[in-house]
Formats: sequence, C-alpha cells, structure tokens
Amino acid sequence: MKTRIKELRARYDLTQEDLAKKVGVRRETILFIEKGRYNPSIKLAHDIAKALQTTIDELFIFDDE
Amino acid sequence: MNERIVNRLWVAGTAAVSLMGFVVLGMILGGYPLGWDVHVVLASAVFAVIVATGSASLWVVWMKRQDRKAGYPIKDERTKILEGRAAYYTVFISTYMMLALLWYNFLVAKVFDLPALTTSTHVNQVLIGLMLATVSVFFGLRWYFMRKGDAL
Repeated sequence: MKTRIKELRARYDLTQEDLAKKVGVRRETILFIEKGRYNPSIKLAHDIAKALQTTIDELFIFDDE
Repeated sequence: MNERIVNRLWVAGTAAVSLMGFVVLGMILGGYPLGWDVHVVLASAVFAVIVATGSASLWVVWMKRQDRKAGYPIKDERTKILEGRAAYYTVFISTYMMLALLWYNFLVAKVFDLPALTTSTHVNQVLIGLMLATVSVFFGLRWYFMRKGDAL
C-alpha cells in the first residue's frame, strides 16, 4: 500500500507533528503510515483524509498484486 | 536541547553510573580487585541493573511528560495494537521457559543426576528470574514491533 500523505502534507504545509496532533496520534504512527509500514484503522484513515481535505480513496493507493 | 542528544546523554550517564556502581559496590563488598568471588560480582551486577532500571523508568516518565506537554497521546491505536501483540507472544515465550524449567527439574536433573532447583532459595531465585525474563521479553518484543512496523 502506498500513500499520498507526504505529498498532501507538503501541499498544506503540515509537518508530521502537526498532522499527528490534528488526528490525535503519535508522530511515529504518521511516519510508519507514510512509509507504508503500518495499516491504519478505517477511523484513522478517515481522520487523516479529512485533515488533508481529501478522501480515503485518494489518499491510499492499493496495489492489487 | 535536541531530543536525540538528550536520549544519548541519558543512556551514557546511566551506563557510567551503573558501571561505577558495579565497581564501587564490588570493592566495598571485598571482591575485585582482590579476587573475583562470584557472589560479589553477582551482587554488584544486580545493583548495576537496579540503577539502570531506575534510570530507564525515570527516562520513560520524562519522555511521556514531554509528549503530553507537546499534545501527543501517550498511546494511540498503533501502540495499543503492538503492545497487545508483544503481550501475546510474551505469554507463549514465558510458558515455554516455565516448561523448560519443569522439564529440567523433573527429567534432566533426575536422569543425569544434576542438582534439581527445588530448595526454597533456588525456587525464589528461579521465580524472580522468570519474572524478570518475562518483563524483558515483553519490552524486547515491544521495542522490536515498534521498530518493525505493522504493514500487511
């Protein structure tokens, strides 16, 4: 799974710390999601998408293979 | 001060104090440099571990306070999941260690005529050792899972 979190963070000038505080998680959680090393719950994915003014579909790119 | 520098200073300070404690207590108890009595070395080593554990506990409390001040939650969904996973594996590993001990006590010690760990002193030490091993396994696994990530 790939994400566009980093790209969208840059667009809204948000650091990992800022985004983590907005969605109420630890900074490392955002880091691991960005790297594709942690799969967030639907609730967290929704919160991140909302904070970045996008949708879950736009934010997470699933590789069918 | 940078968080990484603080962490390194804390680790270095703890290591230095623990080492000093190990050496000084060993000398007070009359062990090295005169001789290497195993009980003196063990007592000093355990003292050093107590100092290190106390320092690590203070560090964890300090880190949590810093996080809380900065507005981060102490635990979030990822830490809860990974701590749960660490606890799950710890149960299996601890059970395995206890079974291995039973196996030694009831089979190996009898078959090979080795000393069984059945005196009250032995039992105390083994119980404390097992508890410490369990705690160490949990924190070791927690650290590993936190570093490894949790992607499918």
